[in-house]
Amino acid sequence: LPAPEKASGAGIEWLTLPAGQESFDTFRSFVLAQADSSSIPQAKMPALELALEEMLVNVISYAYEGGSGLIHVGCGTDQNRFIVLIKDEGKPFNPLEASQPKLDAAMDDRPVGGLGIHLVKTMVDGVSYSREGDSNVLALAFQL
Amino acid sequence: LIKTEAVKEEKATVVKVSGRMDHVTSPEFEAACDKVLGEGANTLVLDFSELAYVSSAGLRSVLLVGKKFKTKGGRVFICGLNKMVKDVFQISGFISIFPVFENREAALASA
Repeated sequence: LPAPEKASGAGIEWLTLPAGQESFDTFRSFVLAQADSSSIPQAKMPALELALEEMLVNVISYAYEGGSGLIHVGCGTDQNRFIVLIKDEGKPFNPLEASQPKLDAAMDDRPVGGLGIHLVKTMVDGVSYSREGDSNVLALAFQL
Repeated sequence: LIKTEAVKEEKATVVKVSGRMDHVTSPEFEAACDKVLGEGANTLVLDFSELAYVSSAGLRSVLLVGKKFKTKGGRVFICGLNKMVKDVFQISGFISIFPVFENREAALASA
């Protein structure tokens, strides 16, 4: 949802860490603190936490295909939205193109997994993907 | 960050889950349910009244547990969803694949 050219613009605070599971908690604390200082409504916190986990775990697991690399997480506000950006320099990949899960199937016909992106798309106020140069940039927006 | 507690009731085994079910803690939840299944129980009530948060990793585990119990001819009932967990269950359609109840008493009454 946020214009990609603003993604690397001023007013965004960045944290860069290796793409590994051990970075997750530090990224999470960083984003929650930034959200807190931008006065995000408490009711948005579950969606923020969930979207961050879904997207970040995805990038940590797949962006560098088992190799090493960096993940950059940025936070800022734009008009009346709190924005989270997740950036990696891995192979081009748009997670938002994942196919829609079959939500009305019975238990036997429900595949295990594949719900993360659907949850994020439904619960956040805006989500977008862009390829900028050698980077994948995911943007999540939450109405303030 | 997650705590599980299994209690054997007359008609079912209740597993109460407290804390968070995410990509780190969900395997612990799964292991607790596998243990109940391994002990021969086939009716499981998941009491989520103290569960604060669930992500798709948690849903994955809940579905796996549901399938495992079903394979053994058993059933899984779920109760006590807070707003966040209820939202996630609704959005993912889990509300229609598991019988969901307000509280443990109501779940046990239907088990």
